[in-house]
Amino acid sequence: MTRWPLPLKHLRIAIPLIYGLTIAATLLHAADTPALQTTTWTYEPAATTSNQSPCPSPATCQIWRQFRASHPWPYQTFALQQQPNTNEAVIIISEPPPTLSRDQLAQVLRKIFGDSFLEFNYDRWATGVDGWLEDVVLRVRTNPDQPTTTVLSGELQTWQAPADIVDRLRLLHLILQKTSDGFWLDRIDSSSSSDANAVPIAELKIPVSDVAGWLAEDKRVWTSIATGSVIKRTTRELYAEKTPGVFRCEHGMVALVAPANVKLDNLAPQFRRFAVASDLILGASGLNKGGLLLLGRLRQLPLATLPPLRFESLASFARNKTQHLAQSYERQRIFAGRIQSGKYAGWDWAPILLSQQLDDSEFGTLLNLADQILKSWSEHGRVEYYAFAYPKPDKYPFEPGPASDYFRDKYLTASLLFNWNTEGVATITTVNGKEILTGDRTGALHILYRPSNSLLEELGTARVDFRAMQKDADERATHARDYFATRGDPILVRVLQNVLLFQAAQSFLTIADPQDPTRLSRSDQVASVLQKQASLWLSQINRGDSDVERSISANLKQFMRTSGYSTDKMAQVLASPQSVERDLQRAYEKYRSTQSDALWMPGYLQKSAQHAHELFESTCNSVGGHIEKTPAGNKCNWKTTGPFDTAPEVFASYDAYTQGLKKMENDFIASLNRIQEQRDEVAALWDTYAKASEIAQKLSARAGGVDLDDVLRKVLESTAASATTGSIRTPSVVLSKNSVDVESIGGHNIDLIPPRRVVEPNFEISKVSTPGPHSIPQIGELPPPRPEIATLKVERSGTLLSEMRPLANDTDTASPRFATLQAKAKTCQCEAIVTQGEDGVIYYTRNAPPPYTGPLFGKTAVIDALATPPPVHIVRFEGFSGDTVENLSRSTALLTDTSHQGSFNKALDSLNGLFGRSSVTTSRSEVTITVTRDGQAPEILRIGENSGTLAALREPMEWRTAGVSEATPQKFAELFGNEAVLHDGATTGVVVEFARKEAGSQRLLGITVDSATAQRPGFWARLRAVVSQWLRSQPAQPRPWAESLVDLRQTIKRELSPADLRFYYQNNQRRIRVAKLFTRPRTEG
Amino acid sequence: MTNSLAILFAIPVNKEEFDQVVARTPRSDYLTGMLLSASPEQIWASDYQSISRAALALISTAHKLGVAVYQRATLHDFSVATSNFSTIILFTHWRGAIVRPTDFLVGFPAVNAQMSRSPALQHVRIVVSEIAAVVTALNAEIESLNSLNVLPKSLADAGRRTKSIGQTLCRDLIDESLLGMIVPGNRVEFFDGLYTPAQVEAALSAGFSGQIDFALCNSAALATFIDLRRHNAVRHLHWPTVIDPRPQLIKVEKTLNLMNEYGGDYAKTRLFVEESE
Repeated sequence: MTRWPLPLKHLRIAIPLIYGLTIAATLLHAADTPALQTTTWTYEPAATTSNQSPCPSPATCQIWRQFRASHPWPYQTFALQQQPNTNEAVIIISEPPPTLSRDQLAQVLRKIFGDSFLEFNYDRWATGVDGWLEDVVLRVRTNPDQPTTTVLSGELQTWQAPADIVDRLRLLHLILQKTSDGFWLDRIDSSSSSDANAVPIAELKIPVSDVAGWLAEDKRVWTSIATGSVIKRTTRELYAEKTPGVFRCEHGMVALVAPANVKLDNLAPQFRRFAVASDLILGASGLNKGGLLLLGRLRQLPLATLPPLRFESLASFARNKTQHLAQSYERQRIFAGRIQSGKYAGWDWAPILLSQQLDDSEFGTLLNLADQILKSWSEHGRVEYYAFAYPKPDKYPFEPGPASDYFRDKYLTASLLFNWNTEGVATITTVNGKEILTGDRTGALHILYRPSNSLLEELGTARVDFRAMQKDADERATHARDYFATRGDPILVRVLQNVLLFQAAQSFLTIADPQDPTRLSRSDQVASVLQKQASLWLSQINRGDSDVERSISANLKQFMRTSGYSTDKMAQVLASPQSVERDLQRAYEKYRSTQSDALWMPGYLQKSAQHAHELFESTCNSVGGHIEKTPAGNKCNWKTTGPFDTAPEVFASYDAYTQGLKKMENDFIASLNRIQEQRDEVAALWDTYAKASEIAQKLSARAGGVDLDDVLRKVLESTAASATTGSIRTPSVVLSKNSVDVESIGGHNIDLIPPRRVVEPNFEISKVSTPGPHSIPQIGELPPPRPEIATLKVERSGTLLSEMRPLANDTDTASPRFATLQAKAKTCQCEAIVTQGEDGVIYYTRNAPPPYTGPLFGKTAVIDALATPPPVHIVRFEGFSGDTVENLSRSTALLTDTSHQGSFNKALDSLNGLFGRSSVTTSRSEVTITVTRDGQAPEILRIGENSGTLAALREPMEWRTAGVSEATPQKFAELFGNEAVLHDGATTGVVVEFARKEAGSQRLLGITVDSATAQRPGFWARLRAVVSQWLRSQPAQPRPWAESLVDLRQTIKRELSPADLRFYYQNNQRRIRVAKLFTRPRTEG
Repeated sequence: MTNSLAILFAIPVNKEEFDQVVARTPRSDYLTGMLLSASPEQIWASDYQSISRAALALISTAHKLGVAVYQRATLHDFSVATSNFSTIILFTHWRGAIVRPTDFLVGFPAVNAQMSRSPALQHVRIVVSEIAAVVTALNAEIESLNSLNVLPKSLADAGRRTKSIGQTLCRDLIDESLLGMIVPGNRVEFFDGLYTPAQVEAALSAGFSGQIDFALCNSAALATFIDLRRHNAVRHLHWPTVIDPRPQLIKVEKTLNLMNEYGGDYAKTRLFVEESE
C-alpha cells in the first residue's frame, strides 16, 4: 500500500510571513523521518567523459544535466520533470538561498515530502577548477489521482503541474524566501537550450531627469503588491513610509521601500516581491528620514532571462559594507603559468582576486563570467577559459583581429589591461532636496583599455605618444561599451544590476542588524600560499641556492636594500603584484576624476550661482516681497501672514540648493588642493611599482624551475579547506588558453560611492497644489521627464480582463472600506453615493432596496449603475468634477430615456456640477437640489416646473445684453402668472429682459423676495443695481441660464441677504416655468 | 474653439481608401464582416457609398471650421493628435467579442482538449466535433455571459451590469484560455492594423486630459480600459452597442456646427445633439 502525503491545498492561500517561519520551525522540530542517503556529485561540463566522476543516480543525472545545460550560469529556481509512464517526478531546487543550512534544508524537505521521497542528491555544476553551482535534486513519488494546477514558469508561461508538488514547493518557497509571492516552477523540457534563455535584453537609458520627474509627482498613486491587504500610497507617502513594502504604479514602475534601520528579516519578503515583480533597476532615492527607495521597471523580461536579484546578495553586502569591490585574474602573480600534467595539462592557471564580499556569491560568479566575456571577445575569441562555453558572438568589438593586435600594431605595446569599471556609470543627484541615484545605461559597465609594455610608459619615457595612445584606447573603449551594452547580454546586464543594487544599498540602506566580523577572502588565502612559497624561494636565491642568474640575484638584493623591502614584503609583491597595481590604478582613477572635475566644475558653479540668484528673486516675488540691496548682499522683505510663509518655509528650496552648491564648491576646492598630492601619490606608486615589478617580472620568469603543478595543488588544497556554506562556490583559480601573444590582465574595479551632483530646484513645483494625474513636472535645469510607458518599454498586458482582474481582487477584499461607505450612505440623506478616491477607484453605495456596495470599474460603469433598476433619485457624487457629473448624468438620462428622469438629470448636470457635493431629489413637478458646501449649512434649491420639461435650462442666454427694470405687482403677475404673486399681493419685483432673437420672442426672468425683505428702505433700487452690475459682468458668450441662475442667486444673497429669494422664468407663448430658490436648514429638507 | 479639435478616420472615407482596405492583406477586420455576403463593389454601391458621403460631408465641414482631419489614421496619428489637440473624435472599428471560424489557428482536437482543461471553458458543451460547433458554443457562452462566473464577484457584477463589458470579458477569458490557438478579439482597428486597448492607451499622449469621442461600436470596453489606466482623467463619449456610422457622422457634423455658432465644449454639445433627438 502506498501512502501519499496529505494534500496541502490550503497552501495556495497566501500565508503571512510569520506562518512561514512557524511552519519552518515546526518542520525542523518535528520528529525525525527516516534518514535518506544523499550523494554529492560534481559534473564538469568542460571535462571529457573519461575525466568525469561517475553519475551516482541514473534516474536523475540526465534530467539535471539537461536542466543545467539550459541554465549553465547562476539561476535560482524550482524545476520539475514528470517521468513519463511512472508516478515519479524529478524536482530540482537550484542554488537554494542560505536561509536554511544544508542540514536544515534537508530536514525540511524530508518533512515536506515525507514518504514520497525516493532520492535526495546534491549535484554541482562546475564553474571553474574549484567553483560550482549546487542544486538539490529530488526524485519523488507523485499521486496519480492528484489534480493538476496552473503554475507560472520562468518563461512567464503557464503550465499544468501536479497540485501536490506545487503545494509543497510553494511552502518551501515561503520558508526560503519568507513569502509565497513570486513563486514559479520551471518545466524541465528536453527541447530547451541555453540559447532559449539568452534573449537579448533591450537597453534602457534613463537619465536623472526622468526618474526625478516621475518621483516629483507627489500624488502619483502606488499600490502594494503583496497578496492580501491592499495598501495605496502616494509618492509623497512613500517617501515617509515607516514599514518595508513593495508598491507598483500604473506606469510600469515598482518601488521597494526599506525604512532606516530596517531589520533584514523584515526586508526579505519585500525584497523578494520587488525582485520578482521588477527586472531592471531604474534608480534609487533616500527616504525622508533615511532609508532606501529602490525603483525598478515592472517586469517585462522572463524570469529565466533576467532572474530576480537575490536577497542573500543584498543581505550579505549590507552586513559587510565596503566602498570598493574588485575582481581580477592575477596572471602576474608568481608561479602562475602553464600546467604540465594532469587533467588540466596545457592550460595556464592564475589566481582569481575577489573581494571577500564576493566570495561564494552569485555576484562574484557573474563578475568572473563578465571578465571572461570582455577579455575573450575583445581578443576576438582567441582567449578561452575552462568551463566557460559561452556562445560566441558573430561579431567582436575589435575587427578584424584581437584588441591586443590593434594596439601592438599601432603603438608597439605588448601588454593590455582590460577593465570593467564604474567610471561615469552612476550618479547621485540632489533634486529638490531628494537624493536620486541613477545609472547611465542598463547594458554594461564602463570599459577601460590600457595598452602598454608596462605602466612605466605612462610616465612619458615611452617610445610612443602616450596621450595619443590613451585617447585612442579611450575611444575604442567607448565603442566597445556600446558594442557590449547593445548586445543585451544577460550576464553583463546582471552585473550592472547588482552594481546599482550595491551602490543604492551603500548610499541609502541602513539596517538594524550588526555588521559581520571581517573575514579573510579566498584570494588572500591564495596569496598567503603563494607568498609562503615565494618567501622560501627568495631565501634560496639570497642564499645562492637557486638557479637564478647572479645578476638578477644582485639586483634583487640591491632593490631590497634601497627600498627597505623585507623578504616577506618582496614575497608579497611576487605573490600579489596586482595588489600594488590595483592601488596604483585606484589612485590614477581618482586623479583622472579630479582632473575631469576641474574642466567642467568652474563653469557649472558659475552657472549655478546665477541660477541661485534667479531662484532667490523668484522665491521673493512669490510671496510678494521686494528685494533690498544691502552691503551684505540682497535681502528679501515680505509680510508674513501665517506659519507657512516664514523664511525657512519660503526659502527651503533655495537653502537646500545653495547648501548643496556650497558643499560641491568646498569639495571641489579641497580636491583641487589635493590634485598635486594625488599626482605625487601616483608618481610614487608608479616608481615603487615599476621597480618592484621589474624585479618581480625577472624573478617570476625564472620561477619556471619551481614545480608549478605542485604550487597549484597546494593552492587548491589550501582553499579547499575553507568550507562553502551556501550553494555557490566561486573558484579560486582560473584556467585559460591564450592563442594571442600578449600579457592580458584586468577585471572589475567597482566603486560603490557614486559621484554627486546638485540640480537647481524648481520653485514652482512645490507651489503647484493640484497637478493633474499625468501632468509632467518641470524640474529646474533638467529637461522634462519622458512618458514612462514608452521610455521604460513596458509592454503591458493588453486586455480589459487583465486590467480589471487585479482591481477586482483588490476591491473584493476592501470590506472595511465598504462598511465606511455604507455608514456614510445611511446618513447622507440620499439614496446612493458615488465616490471616487484619489487612486481613481470608484465605489457605488446604494441604500435600498436592495442595498448594494461595490466597486465600479471606471466612470463608464457609473452610468450603468445609475441606470440599473431600482431607480435612484437622490445621488451624492464625491470626488468628481462638475463636468464629469454633468456628462454622467446626461448620459444616464439618455440611457433611461424618460422625461422626468431626463429633467432630473438635466437639473443635476446644470447645477450639481457647480458644487462640490450635492444631492438631488425629484418629484412629479419639482426638482430639489440640496447644495452642500464645506463648512456651511446645507441649502435647498428647488426648481418647479409647471409645464413641459426643463430642457430650456440648458438654453444659452445672452445675459450681458439683457436689460433690467422694476415691475409693479400687477405687471409681475401679468408676466409670470398668479402663482408668482406673493401672499400679501403688495410686493413688486425686478424683471430681466433678454434681447429678442426673433420677432415676437420675448424671454423674461422675474426676481422677487419675501415681504419682510421687500420692505427694507431702497431695497428694490439696490436689487436692480446689483442685478444690473451682475449682468454687465457676464461673458459675452451666451451661458445656460440654469448655471447663471445659481451664480446670480449667490450674488444677490451675498450683497443683500434676502430671507427668501425667488426666480420666475417666462418664455414665449406664456408657458410659465418657475424656479424657487430658498435656504432651509437640513432638518427641514 | 473648434481649432482644438481633431477628427481621425481609421475607416475608409472614399472609394480609393475603400479599395485600398479591401486589397490589403490581411484584410481589414472591419470590411471582412461586410464582405462575407457580397462583393466589394456591391457593398460599396449598396452600403458604404452612403457612409462615405456622410464622412466627406463631415470632412468638408471640419475643414471650413478649422478642425484638423486625419484620414487613413494610424495608431501613430492618434498619438500625435492627442499630443496636439484637446478634443479627439475617433472613427474606427472595434473587433469585438464574437468568435468567427477563421479565428482558430489550430484544429478541433487541440481546441477541445484545451477547453476541457480550462476552468473558464470546461463547462462548455460542444455537440459536434468540429470547429463550427466550437464557434457556436463559444458565441452562446459570450451571449449568455456564463463564463463570468469564474471571475471575482465584483468583476462578474460589472460584466452583468453592462453587457458589452461582460461580453468583452468573456472573450478575453476565451482568448486567455485558448492562448496560441485563437486570434484574439477585442481590438481596435486603425488604418494600419489591430491594436489592443493597452496599445491604444499607451499611444494616448501622457499628459492628455481632454475629451475623446470614441465614435465606434462597443467603445464602452475601450473607454473603461482608459478610465482604469488614466484614473478617470480623460473625458470621453462612448457607445456600448453596435452603431451605424452614418448617424454618428451626421451628428458629429451637427455638433461642430453648433459649437461654431454657440461655443461650448464638445462633449456637452454632442450630448445636446443626442438629447435633441
